[in-house]
Amino acid sequence: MYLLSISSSVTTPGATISPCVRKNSWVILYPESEITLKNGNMRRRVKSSHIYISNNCTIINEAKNCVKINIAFFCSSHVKSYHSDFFEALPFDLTNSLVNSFQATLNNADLKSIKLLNDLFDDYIHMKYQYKVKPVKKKIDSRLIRVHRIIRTRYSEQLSLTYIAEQIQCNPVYLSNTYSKVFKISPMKHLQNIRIGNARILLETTDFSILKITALVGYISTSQFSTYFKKHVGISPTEYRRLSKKTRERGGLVVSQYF
Amino acid sequence: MLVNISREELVIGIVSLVEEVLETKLIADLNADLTLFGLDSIKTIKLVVKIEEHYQIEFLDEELLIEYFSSVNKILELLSYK
Repeated sequence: MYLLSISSSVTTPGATISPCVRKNSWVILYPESEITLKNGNMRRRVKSSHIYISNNCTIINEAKNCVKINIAFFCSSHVKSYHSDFFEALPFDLTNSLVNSFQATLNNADLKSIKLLNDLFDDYIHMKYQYKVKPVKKKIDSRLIRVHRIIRTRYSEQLSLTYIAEQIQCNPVYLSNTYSKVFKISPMKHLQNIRIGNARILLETTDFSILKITALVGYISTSQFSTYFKKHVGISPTEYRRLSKKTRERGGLVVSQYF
Repeated sequence: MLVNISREELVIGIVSLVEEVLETKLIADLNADLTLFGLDSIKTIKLVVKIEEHYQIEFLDEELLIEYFSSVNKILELLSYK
């Protein structure tokens, strides 16, 4: 909170004043006799026994004579939408440090008292909003989740890092770095793992030709498929199929695993 | 997709995925605030992905709020629509 001005002013009969002109305006005020304060649809006659704090109010002098109002204008570092309409009456007793500080600053506005008033007002608003404002519903950044889905479900397509990055409007290098940081594996390595994992299942459970499996898991050529497969598993796809068949015939279980 | 899974199985499954992501054992309270167990925005992303992968589902964009993943019970509620 930053105090912009503090003063005693006189409102004339019939005057209507809206002091909170900006989105981050706040006022602390107290009238020296009865006056009307409007906040939204709420209209209330207020007495001089309280000070009033608001970020959206209108002062209306409905009396037949002038009413003196002590008023401090503040500017908040947060806009109003962050807070929400606020109106509160604080009892005017001497135990309240904010009230005291307001009066002290009104009597003698030196830098020290202004700073104290700003700080106390900050604390006060902070305390009030801790209990009032519901936490903002924070969205989860879905970009990496979307990339993960693409890799998981569309591995049979010919996916390039550039293409995947385009899907989330992101720089390929940046995508690769953040993906690796979060999932501890780069997107392209993850794609290869999913492809090889699925290829192993197909080799074990179907009689599909190597050519067909190559296409089903998204490789362009059988030689590309074989190279990656060997790199991951240690043996060629044909050899793998032969071995797994042998193991099955012996009654052993071949459990496919992603690794 | 999830109709064939009993609630007990789902609870056990979700708890183990959460524990895997948070690298910690959870206390028995399914309403416990997971942020107190270290759930932050990055871990929420990991958790979402793990749940999607494990149950072969995809969350809708409007379901991707940190709030909805902040306790095991809230996650279970979200999954009850799947």
